[in-house]
Amino acid sequence: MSPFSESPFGDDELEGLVGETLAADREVPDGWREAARAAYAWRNVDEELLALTFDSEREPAAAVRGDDEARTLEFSGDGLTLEVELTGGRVLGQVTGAGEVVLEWADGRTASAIADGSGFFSLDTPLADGGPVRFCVRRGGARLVTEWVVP
Amino acid sequence: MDEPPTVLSLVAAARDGDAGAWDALVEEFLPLVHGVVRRFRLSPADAADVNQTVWLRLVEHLGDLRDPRALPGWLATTARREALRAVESGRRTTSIDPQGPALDGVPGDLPGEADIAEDLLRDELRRAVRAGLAELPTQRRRLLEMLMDDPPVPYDEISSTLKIPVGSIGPTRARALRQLRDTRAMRAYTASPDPAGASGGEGGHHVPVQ
Repeated sequence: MSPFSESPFGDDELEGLVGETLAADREVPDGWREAARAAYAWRNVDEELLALTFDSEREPAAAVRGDDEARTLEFSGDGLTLEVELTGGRVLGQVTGAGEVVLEWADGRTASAIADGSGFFSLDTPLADGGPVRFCVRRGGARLVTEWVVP
Repeated sequence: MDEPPTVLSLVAAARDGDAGAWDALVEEFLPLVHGVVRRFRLSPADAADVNQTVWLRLVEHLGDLRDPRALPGWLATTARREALRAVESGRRTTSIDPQGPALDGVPGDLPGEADIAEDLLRDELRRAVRAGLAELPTQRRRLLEMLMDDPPVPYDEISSTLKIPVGSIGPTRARALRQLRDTRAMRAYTASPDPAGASGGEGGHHVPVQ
């Protein structure tokens, strides 16, 4: 597979590799390193993770749908299901069991809503161009968080 | 022997709360993630979102990454999946625009698994080169970096910066390259039975000391 497996690299070839490696490092856009490093601040070993189990955008039919249709996401784990519908300016959702639902942006902003007796909640907040978000559900003393998604 | 930290040990340390180990992982794999994402020609904002999402996902999954040696593959696959999602999302929102170039796209235009596999192989070689450069004495490394800078640094500037006569640059370059070829990282790469294999073997995945 590798053209170099038998012999060591020749000088010019090795020099070319040095150039290529430096270029690859240089080409990483501004801000990517900071964003990648900052992601670590979200590490939390105690939270239960709710996995993304349905995403209407990943369904085969999604590509042919119009843009007016809401994106539906479903997360589940630990006996809890959270369904959310994302439209331009608001988030409608239902969570099994009442509780507080907090929408968290990776940059630290939050918005929260209290789910009613049937588990319904809504958040009037624009999501577009805000970067990755996740939902956090408080149930009793526990915090459950969803995977990150880009709305 | 004083081994540089491996990806294995960095993952373990990051798992245990060592932010420095996390930063080292970012340094090690950011070019790979970028290389995969750039193939999709997303807008700068969408590409940045993909990058951020990949690393946020890695934070979530540090604990259940069963074999840290699979990390490069995991990152590349996650980057590809998130980039594909961003492409799909862009197609939906531009579908009312008849001029939207994304409409003309067919799945074959998008980078596939073979492209990602190629990126992984190339990245492994580049990581070996980067780790090899880190093993060199500063002066030698600087010389190679200046020679390969884009645009190239003129010889007289290299001479005055590194305090070596212009006439010695050529011979010093040759010595630096020989030394690089002989670094632990480069020898491990070439000695590996499957040098470019994503699974790799012991010793083939050294990263520079922080």
